[in-house]
Amino acid sequence: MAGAGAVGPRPRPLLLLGPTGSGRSTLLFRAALVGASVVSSARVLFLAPRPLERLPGGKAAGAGAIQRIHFLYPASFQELLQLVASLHQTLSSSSSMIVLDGLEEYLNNCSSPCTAAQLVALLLDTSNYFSQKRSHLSVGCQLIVSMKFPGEAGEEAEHFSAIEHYFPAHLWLHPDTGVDIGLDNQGLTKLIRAHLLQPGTKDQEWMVKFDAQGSMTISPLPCKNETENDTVSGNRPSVSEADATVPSSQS
Amino acid sequence: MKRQVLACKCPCSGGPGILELSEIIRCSPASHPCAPRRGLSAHLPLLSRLRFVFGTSVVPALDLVDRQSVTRFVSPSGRTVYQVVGSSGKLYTCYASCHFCSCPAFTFSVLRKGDNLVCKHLLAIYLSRATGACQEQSVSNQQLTALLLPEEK
Repeated sequence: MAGAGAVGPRPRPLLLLGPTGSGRSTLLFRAALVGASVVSSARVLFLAPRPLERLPGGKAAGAGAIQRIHFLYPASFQELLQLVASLHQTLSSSSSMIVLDGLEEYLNNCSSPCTAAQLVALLLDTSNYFSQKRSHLSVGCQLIVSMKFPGEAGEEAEHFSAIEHYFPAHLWLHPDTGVDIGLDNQGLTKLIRAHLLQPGTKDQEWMVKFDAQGSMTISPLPCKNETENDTVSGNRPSVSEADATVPSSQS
Repeated sequence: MKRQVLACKCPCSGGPGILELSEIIRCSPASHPCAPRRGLSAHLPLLSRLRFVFGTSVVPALDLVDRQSVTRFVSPSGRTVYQVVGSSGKLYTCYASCHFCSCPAFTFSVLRKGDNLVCKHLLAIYLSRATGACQEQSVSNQQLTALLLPEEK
């Protein structure tokens, strides 16, 4: 807004959307790990209604990356609001990434679309505040929020319509049947097609594969009209080819 | 004009069309360097431009600017938030870096219907900043946290 002052590059806020069981929490955690590994000054704030059932180990965790992730579990909408509003008082170092898992669970306790919008705007304003605090560094503070697909009508849809405009980038997760590639033959348990939409750039797609050991592999899919891989501007978390032992998804 | 049109072009993370709106305000009649000398009437084409983009919110917003209704609160942490005294005397909270106002018009007309870019309070903040009519007030970190939260009902 006017007078906000010059800040470093501001990564685009990303909304991760998918149905139940589409690996939202897993991907979000992976993004947090990547975010925490970028530079030693990285500090990731991971907000969720409850702890993940299992944290990754081995090479996926990286040496110090997981220690740079600060987990907080506000139990209700009110607690989350209070926590986010007071981050400027309580956090000693500025976050380089704020991740919120399970927004839909918090919005269940939310009284109106206006209050839902206020929560998301507060998250965004907080990440912009941290970006400004980090303006001497090369990157700002990224905001990534995950939520379950909203219903087409009713309160959920009203809340979604009030908050979606705050996110210029949407990543849609679509479970794939895997018939075409022989899911069972490859020892895979789940296939997810991830579709990134952000204005001003080409759409991008990835295939996310989960195997029985809980490993996740992400590979880019060719664009519909082109075969080469294009990069998307902005500082979204890197989801290039990667192997990771992942936590059990709560989504 | 649809909100989405501006939102699509916006390269920053400040919500719908922040950069574009800042540019429009910077070129607005009230913030023009000649405005005090030549009077607002000399800039009617610019005022029309402002009205074209912001519709009927412009005159009430300019009225709020005249009344010095906009206050920017700053805390030692560097966090900021705005409060605007509405025409009825009610206080509305607006966030500093993205579009949010606690007034009913923002919810109805900006969020729900999408037929306005901002409410008159947000527009008054832009105009107040551009004209130097914004009040500044220092508060403690704790007080700023309280200002960021929704009013308890």
